[in-house]
Amino acid sequence: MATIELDKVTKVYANKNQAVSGLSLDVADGEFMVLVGPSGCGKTTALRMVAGLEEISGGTVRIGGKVVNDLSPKDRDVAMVFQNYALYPHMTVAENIGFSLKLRHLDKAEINRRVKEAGQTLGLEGMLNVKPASLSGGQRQRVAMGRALVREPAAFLMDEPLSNLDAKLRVQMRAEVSRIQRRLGVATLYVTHDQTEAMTMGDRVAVLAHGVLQQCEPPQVLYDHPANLFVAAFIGSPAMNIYQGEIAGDSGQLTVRLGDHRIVIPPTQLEARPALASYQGRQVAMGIRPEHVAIGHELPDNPSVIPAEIDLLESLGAEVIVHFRIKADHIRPEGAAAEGEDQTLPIAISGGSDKTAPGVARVDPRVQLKVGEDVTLVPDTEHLQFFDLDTGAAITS
Amino acid sequence: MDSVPAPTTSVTPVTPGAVPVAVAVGRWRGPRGRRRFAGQVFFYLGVLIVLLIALFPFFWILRTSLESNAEFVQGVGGANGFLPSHLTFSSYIDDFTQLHFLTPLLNSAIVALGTTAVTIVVASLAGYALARLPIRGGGATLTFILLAGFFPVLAMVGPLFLLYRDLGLLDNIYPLIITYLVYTLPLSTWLLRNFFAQIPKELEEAALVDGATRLQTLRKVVIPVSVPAVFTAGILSFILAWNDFAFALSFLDSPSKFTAPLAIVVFGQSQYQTFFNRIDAAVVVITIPIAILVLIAQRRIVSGLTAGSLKG
Repeated sequence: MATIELDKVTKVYANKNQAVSGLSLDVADGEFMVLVGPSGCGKTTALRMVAGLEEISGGTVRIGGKVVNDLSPKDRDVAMVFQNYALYPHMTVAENIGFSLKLRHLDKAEINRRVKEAGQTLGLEGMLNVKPASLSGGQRQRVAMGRALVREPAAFLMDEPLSNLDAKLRVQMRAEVSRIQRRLGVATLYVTHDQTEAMTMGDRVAVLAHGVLQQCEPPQVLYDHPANLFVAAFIGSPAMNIYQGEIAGDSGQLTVRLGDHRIVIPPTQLEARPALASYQGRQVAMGIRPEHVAIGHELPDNPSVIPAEIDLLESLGAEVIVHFRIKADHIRPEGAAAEGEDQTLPIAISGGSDKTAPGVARVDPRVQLKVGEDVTLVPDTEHLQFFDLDTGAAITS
Repeated sequence: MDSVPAPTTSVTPVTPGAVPVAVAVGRWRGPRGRRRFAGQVFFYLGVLIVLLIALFPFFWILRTSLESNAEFVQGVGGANGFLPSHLTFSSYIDDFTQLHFLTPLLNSAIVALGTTAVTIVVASLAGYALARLPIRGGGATLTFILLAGFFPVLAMVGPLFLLYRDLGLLDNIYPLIITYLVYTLPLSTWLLRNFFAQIPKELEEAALVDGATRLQTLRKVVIPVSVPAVFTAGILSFILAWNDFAFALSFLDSPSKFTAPLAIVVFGQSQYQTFFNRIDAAVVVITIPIAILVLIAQRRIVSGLTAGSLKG
């Protein structure tokens, strides 16, 4: 039982490639901390520095209050679960789980007891005497977990432990890993690129991009109040709609102009984001989550509506994901790139005055919609988000 | 040209009788079938010829080793024809009683086992270092090691003889081990390095985090996972040391120090006659350990030992 503290931890590789820059992160005792970010953001490097598998170029790592920078992995009292499980192929499941205990010269009876207990926790009772080769992916994953938890270590380190499982098993193991972690109450640093895992499992989620910590908050805070454009675009699926708009002050009321349309900013927003007033006449990034966009057929008596054309409908049963296009400038921050696209893209502003920008809304399946139809979007203005275009930071106070 | 595959490539090596006759006949019906049949006949005929050529010397050694001195002296076509009229183990008995073949056998065993043991320990450590540690010029080192392994044996005999003479290491079996290491270490280091390099790094990292030291990682994870490569290196080293003639001939003088291959040559010599029956009996004896080793290795060298460590 201990804490994990990273204090301005930096990793520079021999080829001058800076993988992690000044990362400061405190994992409290018993806390489940998720480190999330796109591939290549340095999250795995950070984890490996905590494990002692990667040299620390700068800053300090403390486990249980003790600086471990120069300790070898075996002296750090951490257990790690690897993405590919890394089970010892020549050992049985029981030997795999008990390996660390054997290295610590525990007596046989004690090893047997703890291996059996771990086996029970993970539902591996019948397989303790087989070798990993004859196990399924899910079972191997459990053995890898067993190897970590039998240690009763100061901290758990997990490097995308579920990413090799199929979708259904992943959801199941997600809950199981969370449950085991809560029961053991061991500080855990969990690396993933999957934001669903991050949201569902973490007590707190640290979002990393280019080796720099963007924000570290409980999942709901991260979702509701992203600190910058990167976090706003990265967290949430489907992603937040982000457009370029101009803040204008009309008749004592602030509005944001999106293409030809004006959206009135409600007073509650101004209270929460007083700094917004100073952006009058300036361009900002305006974000709105898909669930905060309503779709109607006729223009209601509301000035803040936007005409749109429906591009695509994806019915998920409980809801329909509506892909639409509006006349506006779309902002696609880096990290929000779709899979397979270049993820190092800087902030890209696409579209022009006569071009259209894509957007997504989640609506009730009972709303009758057709592809190609012209509709009206009604954004819930209470939930608008504003970001500075230059810095990408959220506009708050 | 139609697209009939070349007859030899379409042949599947099935044991005769394993194919039901009806199926076989079906396969060989029609013009294409007849060509396939002819192809099979030629293929197996070829195999038979190669086998006969390869196995005949072994047969002849075995045959001769089972002749008595008297029969051997009369030669083929004398008392014995192509096959000896009666088989006897007298040559084997002579080897071990009159000629004391046990001593050179033991010498060979000491030298070969010693060479194998040192090779495996040193080559594992060196191979692991070359595979995993960030060594400057590691690639060049590796190439040099491989080159050293192919240095001509006879070019090595002269310098080593002078060296051993000055160091007082001649006529002693133990320095032979050092000599054989010149050849076994490069090959084994190379073999093990390449095998180690293929082992997923995570396997070792898991062991390190589990509390193992680097050496424990090597001993308890890397080497057990590399059993096929370690066995191969060990067997190659053993065979090289066991079969050596050139170095033993150059460095050993007293018959009590002789290794088996050297002793065999001396065996048959009498003033007027070379008793090949005795030589061949000794040859059969020294072939047995090698044959056993290869059989064991075949069962032990199971590919895919790492399967199951990683996904898929």
